Amino acid sequence: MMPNFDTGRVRIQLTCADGRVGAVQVSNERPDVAMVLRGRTADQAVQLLPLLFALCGQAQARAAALALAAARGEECVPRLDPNVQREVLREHLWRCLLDLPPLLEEAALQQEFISAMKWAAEGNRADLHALLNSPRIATLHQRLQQIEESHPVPSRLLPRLDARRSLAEWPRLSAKFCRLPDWRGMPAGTGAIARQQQIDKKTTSLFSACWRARFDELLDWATGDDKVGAGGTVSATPVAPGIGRSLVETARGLLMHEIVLDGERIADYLIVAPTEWNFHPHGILVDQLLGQDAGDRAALQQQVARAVAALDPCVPWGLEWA
Amino acid sequence: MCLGIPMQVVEVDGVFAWCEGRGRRERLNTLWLGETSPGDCVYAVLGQAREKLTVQRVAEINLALDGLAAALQGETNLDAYFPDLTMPR
Repeated sequence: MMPNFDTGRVRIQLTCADGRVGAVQVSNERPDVAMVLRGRTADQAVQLLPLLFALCGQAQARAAALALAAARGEECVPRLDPNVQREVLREHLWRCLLDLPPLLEEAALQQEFISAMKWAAEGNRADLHALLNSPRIATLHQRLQQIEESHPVPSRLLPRLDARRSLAEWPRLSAKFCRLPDWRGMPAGTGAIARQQQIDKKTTSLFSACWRARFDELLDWATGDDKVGAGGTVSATPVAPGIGRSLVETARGLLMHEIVLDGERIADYLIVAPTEWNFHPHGILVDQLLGQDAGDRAALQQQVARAVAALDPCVPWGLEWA
Repeated sequence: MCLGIPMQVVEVDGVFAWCEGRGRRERLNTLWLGETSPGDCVYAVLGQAREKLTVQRVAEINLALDGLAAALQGETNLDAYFPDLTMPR
């Protein structure tokens, strides 16, 4: 049998006391892919990454190619990459039409999804626009409005960054930063919710805000209002001679690659994925769950599932009770 | 940043398919791909079949995953797992 290993998971452990969630532990366990990239030729590493990462293959491929070009001195000013943008749209369609409705006790919109995937591939904005304004989608928006959670949206979301501007925030990436990224000393949320940055933070729950932001990004594309900064935006910059960094806005949020070259070989390869931001041990998921009513365990479990679904980890997740 | 697993479709069940690969058997949602047939090779991630793969691509991915598994077990000479790849994805 082929050697096997755990491809990764997010573990969430809740400790409840006095009818409330008193502590939340989040751990994000994944194999360190950088260990097989070090020592490869640069071109080989860039081909290898999208082979291994199935979920955002286009985003990973662009991030790798742009980071390598940047390490060789080539800048990429922020722009929308059509392949990555299409991948983002398709991810949003999956989430919004298949995953969201059951969370709202509605049936998945399977036929709509099949049609919408075709429209996204063909660049048919008009038909997607009509779907997004259809009664079935309006029902989802109404159901989202009805979801009431006690916690408002956390205000700490990543700002819009491109590769060059990111240097001021993070002059160099490190292995520790890849596991526990922070923005100005604190965790921050990423994803469509951070890219949109126009949520009413006082009245909207994290759950509904995340989903609305995905719908908004789909609608922006359908109306031709998609701009640099939206999902699918890519940029890259040289960090120092032989070191390059790329930033890609994926469906789940900001993806960063930093390549350190030793001649034409990889001396180090650093990847910061969106899941590390949104499932940080002190991040926005923890903020959402701390202090929640734990009197009804089934209700709490549903709330955890909704929060996790809104933040959309790129690996399976599990809930444990301490 | 989820690692994918190449699998082969063994039985189609509506929009789902039972698939096998790397010692696992999983029921995958195939809506991302449209139609699938027994014998198709697919890239599996988060319970979804995300991409159809050629036999050549399956071999390359499996070798790379073997290399990662070996590295996780402490092996340091990984060259055999990472030959030059044959074609862009």
